Amino acid sequence: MRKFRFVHTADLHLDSPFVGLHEVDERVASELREATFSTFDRIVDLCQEKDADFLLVAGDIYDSADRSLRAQLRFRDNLRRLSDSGIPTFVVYGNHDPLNRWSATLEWPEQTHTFGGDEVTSAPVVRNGEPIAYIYGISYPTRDVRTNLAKRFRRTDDGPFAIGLLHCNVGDDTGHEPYAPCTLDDLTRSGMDYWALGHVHNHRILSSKKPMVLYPGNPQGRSPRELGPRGCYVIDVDTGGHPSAEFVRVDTISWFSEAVSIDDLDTDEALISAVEATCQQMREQAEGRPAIGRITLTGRGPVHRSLARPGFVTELEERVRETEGSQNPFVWVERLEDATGSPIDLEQRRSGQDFVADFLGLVDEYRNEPERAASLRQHLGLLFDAGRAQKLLDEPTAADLRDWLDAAEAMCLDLLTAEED
Amino acid sequence: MRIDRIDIDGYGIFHEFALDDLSPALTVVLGQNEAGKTTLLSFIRTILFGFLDKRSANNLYEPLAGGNHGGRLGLVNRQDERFILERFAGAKGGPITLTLPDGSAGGQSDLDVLLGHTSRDLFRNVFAFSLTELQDFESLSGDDVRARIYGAGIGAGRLGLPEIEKKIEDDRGKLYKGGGSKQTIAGLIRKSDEVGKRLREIGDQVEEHDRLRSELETLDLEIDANREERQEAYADRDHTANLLRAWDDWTDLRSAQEQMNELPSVSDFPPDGISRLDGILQRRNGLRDRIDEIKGEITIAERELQKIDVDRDILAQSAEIEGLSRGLDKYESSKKDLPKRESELKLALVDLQGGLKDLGPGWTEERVGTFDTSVPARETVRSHGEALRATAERLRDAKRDADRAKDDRENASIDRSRLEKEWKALDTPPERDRNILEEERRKLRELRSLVSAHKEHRQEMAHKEDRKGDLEARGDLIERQFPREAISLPVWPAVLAPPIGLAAAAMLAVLTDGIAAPAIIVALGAVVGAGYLRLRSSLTTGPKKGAPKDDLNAVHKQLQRIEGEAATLTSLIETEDSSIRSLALQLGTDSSPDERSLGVLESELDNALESLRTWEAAEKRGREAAASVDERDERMLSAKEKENKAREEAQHAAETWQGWLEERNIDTTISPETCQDILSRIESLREKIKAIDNLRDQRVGAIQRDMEEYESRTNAVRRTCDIAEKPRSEFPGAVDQLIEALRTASKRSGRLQQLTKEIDDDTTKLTTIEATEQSVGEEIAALLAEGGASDEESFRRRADTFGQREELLTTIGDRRRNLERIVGHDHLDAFVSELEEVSPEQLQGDERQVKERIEELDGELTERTEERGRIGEQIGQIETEEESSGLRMSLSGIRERVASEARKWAVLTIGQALLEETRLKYERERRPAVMEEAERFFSSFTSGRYERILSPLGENQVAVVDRTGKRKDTSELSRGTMEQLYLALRFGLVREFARRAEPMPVIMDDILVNFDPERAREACRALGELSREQQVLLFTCHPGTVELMKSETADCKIIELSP
Repeated sequence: MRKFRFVHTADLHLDSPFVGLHEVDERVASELREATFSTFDRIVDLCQEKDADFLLVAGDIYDSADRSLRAQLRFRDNLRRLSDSGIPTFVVYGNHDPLNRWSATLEWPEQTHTFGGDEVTSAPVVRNGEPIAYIYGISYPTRDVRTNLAKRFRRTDDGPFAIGLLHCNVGDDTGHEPYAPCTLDDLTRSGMDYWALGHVHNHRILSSKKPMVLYPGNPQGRSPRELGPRGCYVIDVDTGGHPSAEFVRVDTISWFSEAVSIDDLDTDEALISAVEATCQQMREQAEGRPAIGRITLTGRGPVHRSLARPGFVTELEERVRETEGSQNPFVWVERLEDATGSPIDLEQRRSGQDFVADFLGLVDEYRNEPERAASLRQHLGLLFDAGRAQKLLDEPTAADLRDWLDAAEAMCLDLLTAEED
Repeated sequence: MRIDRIDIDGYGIFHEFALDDLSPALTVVLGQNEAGKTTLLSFIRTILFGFLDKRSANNLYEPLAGGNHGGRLGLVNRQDERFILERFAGAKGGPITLTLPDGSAGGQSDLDVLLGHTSRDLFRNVFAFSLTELQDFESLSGDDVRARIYGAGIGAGRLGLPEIEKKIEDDRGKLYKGGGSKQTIAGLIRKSDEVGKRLREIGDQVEEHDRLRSELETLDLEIDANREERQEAYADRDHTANLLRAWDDWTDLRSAQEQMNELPSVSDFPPDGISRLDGILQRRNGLRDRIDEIKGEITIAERELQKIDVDRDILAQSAEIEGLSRGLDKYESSKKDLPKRESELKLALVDLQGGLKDLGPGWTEERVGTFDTSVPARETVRSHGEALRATAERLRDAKRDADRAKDDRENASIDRSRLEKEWKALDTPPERDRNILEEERRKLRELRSLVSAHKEHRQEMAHKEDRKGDLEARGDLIERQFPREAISLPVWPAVLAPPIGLAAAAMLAVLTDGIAAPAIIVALGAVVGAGYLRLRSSLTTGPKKGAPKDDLNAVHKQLQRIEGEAATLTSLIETEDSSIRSLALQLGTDSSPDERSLGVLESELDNALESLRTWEAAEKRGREAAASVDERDERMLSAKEKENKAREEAQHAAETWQGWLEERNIDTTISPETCQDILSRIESLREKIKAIDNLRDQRVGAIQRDMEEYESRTNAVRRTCDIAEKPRSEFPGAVDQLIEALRTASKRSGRLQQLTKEIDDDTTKLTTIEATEQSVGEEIAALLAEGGASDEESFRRRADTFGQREELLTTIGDRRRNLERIVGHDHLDAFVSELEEVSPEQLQGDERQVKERIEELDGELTERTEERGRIGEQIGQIETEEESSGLRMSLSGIRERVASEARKWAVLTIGQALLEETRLKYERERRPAVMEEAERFFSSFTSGRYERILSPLGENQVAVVDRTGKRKDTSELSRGTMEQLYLALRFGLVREFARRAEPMPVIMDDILVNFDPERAREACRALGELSREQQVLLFTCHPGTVELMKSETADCKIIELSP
């Protein structure tokens, strides 16, 4: 057979907002608004540079909840670019962009093939008058598809290579909603040579044997949970029909979440230097991209006293944003979180006979008994059960409550042990 | 745990300060204000719990008096094991060195055990407090009192529990309150609603986009139909407009053709016939007028010519008269100038006479002209002047020197008599040979040092005798007792002996200025030191247990050496004795003199030497003064001689000058300077004489000559022209008359010539014009023949008919061309037939109708195009719309901030709940025991007046119950009683803590100030009781408190701090 090459991407989420960001200045905001688009531009560039035979897009191209027409138009414009240079694109839609949420008047370019939502169909990729591969696919007709779509795939061609293109949740530990749930076994049985999947945001190869199964992840991280390099896969299929995968980084903005310990910091200046050094480290790891980072200050030490002063953390945050955010490429510290404690000897205070010892003892009781920790929720009703706030807030998880308990302990300790002679 | 020793290296005012006798029970430290009681309290806290952060605002007690910042505490635990805790300022509270009872080094954990895990705050609040805290207590409200009571036990820092709870509640309230709208979270929710609302307004883009696109298609179809219909209407409108536009041309064409048919035929006529005829006639009339005019002019000129008469004589003299006219100005100014010049001459002569008179009598113009004023003559005068000045100056200087020498001589003479008088007044000394006196003094000093050394040697001798006795006794003892003990002697005398010798020698050297005796003393010091060392080493290392014989031998050896040394000393003393006697004899004093009498002798010798020195000095000064007088005499004589010589020179210079003056016949009394002045005046008079000569000859004479010549020239001309001559008095009138006559003659001659020329010219012109008039008449006849007319009138009639025909032909051609331009050549015939069928009114009606239809169509089209543009724009907006992206991002940001602020709120809320729970637990578990102890102390302080303290759980109240069962709130208690209540509660806490952990020392700073004597006594008793369980340190500045404490407690240690 003839060897060929294609690019596999998914979960573009064009024009959907970044989450987890407090505040950004206008320059950063405009970079963020453009980020998902720039990333897709780069994927299209990549197809052209690599001389790919076709592009596969496995769903969640945009978030229909956003109702963004811009996203659809920019997507179409880019596909037109590919079509004009003779590269066809195969598209299925996922839970975020089901068929019924696309504009009816959108005119797709000649070389774009979108799969319908009624049944699995196939389309050949033809080179020099001969099919080099068949693509099988099905789109989500509506958002809430809970049936196993993978089971509907049956290879019917006798061509050299078959690819399944599907937006689905394989297994039950992906950390994502179980849309179109299936197992790796379902995929293996279908007779495909390659499964081009979408849905899970962290890229991973589920199987490198036949059939090769992989999630390319979302090419642009959009929240502090989506850290690290992001991109798409370039797949080379050799004359023996064996695919090999190369991950290519295409993200526009890189996300980071870093911790800075104050254990060994004696002065405010040292703290500022440590934070700036962390920003520098992010800048290096971002390899020339702008970076958005969350910095958590941890540990115990003398600078905790400064950090506990009202406004200090905000000032520090502003200062770092000013120096790091104005550079090119910028590092935007989206949040500077203070999880430090005063430099007191907790063990000694626990063994004492005073109120502080009693307090620490009580906190330990809460910490060690999950049920008691859960009971802390009862104090929070005023805010968390209020109608208007409820819309904006997630119900606190057990982990949240544990985190808040730790923070409350640190805060009370600060107040109880405020120094004086 | 208790403190048994305090060592401060450096802390506040203390440096190398130690307290080492602290009682395990009760110690009272008495010190005035500023003695350092508070510093001491802080020192104990710092060593136990560490230095405060340098950034804190507290007093860090830097070492003001020096030393390292820190020190040591000796600590003893319940098992009576002793620890030493040392701490100096440094990182993280300052590093500690903890020495454990077994001498090994311990760490922070050992210290924690020793401190019973007491925190710094707890120690400060419960175990170590001052009067200030007791007094603060009084000003607090009920709630605060309660908080303080329990706060003391919570071990919290700067903030009390209620303050902490309030702060948390405030912070929480700023973030969120149930119903509020100003709080951070409420604000964010509001913002989120606004953004959400705006997003909804922007709406569902996809649906809207699709709808707009289909609307757009419909509109496009409608617009095309509109455009087609409008095109047809435009064609109709244009045709009707053409017919209307052609109407005027069409009517003109028709009437021109009709007029043409009615005119007679004149087919040919000369072009521009009438205007040509008119032109020729006009030219002929012009020529005839010109002929009449020229004839008139010739007649007038001939008449004037006959009247003109010219004077030929005057004209012949015209060159001479013009010359006179040019010289007239010069003549007039000369005539005016002459009298001025004559009076100038007269004035100059008067001035010259005055100048001669100034020089003195006998001076004339000739003498002035010949007198020698040359540069050599002037130079001679100047040198005479200088000679006179120089000799006079020398005479003045010589005279001054002579006067000064005379004064000097008189002063020297006065000095000599005064000094001679002083010398004579002194007594002549008995002994005038200095060498004899100094020899006596040297001997005396030698004697004195010998006497002193002799005394010491005798004492040394006595010492040796003692040592000998001791050694003999020692020898006896060794022989008697076995075994014998080692004998040891201190080493210090040996070390000290040589330096003492040196010091003694130095002192002696200073006192006697001698060398021999001090040297002996140094040597002796060294000998004695060395001997002593040998003795000591033999005593300490010699005799040993089990070797008594060796010891005895050593003693004997010592004895022998001391005896030898004593013999040497004896001979030394004898030698000194004989030297002393010999010297005493020479000096004539007692043969064994004592130091005092030698002192007297020495001072007598010093006096004799001093008076000899004084007498010698006075003698020398007298002799020097006599020599000075002689020298000045000589100087005075020499100066007088110089003065006389200078006077002679001055005389000679004056005589030479007078001789020079006489030679030149000048007054001999004048000075050379005046003579210089005379010479200058002579020179200036010579200049004046030269000027007078010039005025007389050159100016006045020349003027008179010029005037006479001018007058004679004038009279010559007059004669020639036959006019009477005139004298000078009628000048310049005579010249003016000639000039006027010449001007008149010239004018008349010019006019005559002009008229003759004019008549000639006019005659020639007349001939030419008359010929031209003849040819014009022929031209008129030819033109009439060409126009087919016999006379002028018929010519004009024919011309008119021809003109009308030409005009009609032009009109017909123009109108046809206009019509062709409107419809084109091909359609002209059809168009003309159509024009024949219609009327203008009909056409205007058609046009109005078609225009109305077009306007209607235009309106529809504009409307639809605009609508299309609007929709296109909307689609464009939707396609490029970015606001919603921004809004979604900001919504996401708000959501995030709400989560973050909610987290803060949750942390505060949970913290609040935890503190509340801890407080309840604390009060429930600890309070009863504390209260029980506190009640006991309070009852005892108040001698049983108050029996109970009430502080019900959960109530913000503390109250007391008195003996009669009456309940009182804290606000009803006196200041002293409040303090006692507080102290009782503190003691309750102390007891409570002591029961649970290592008891800590209780340290109080002047707390009994406001207690009445009885209660103070009770408090002292309570302190005594407390000190049975744990160490108590009471700082006070009142001696009364000390006394009270002494009387109320059995074993109370008092330490006084001095400032």
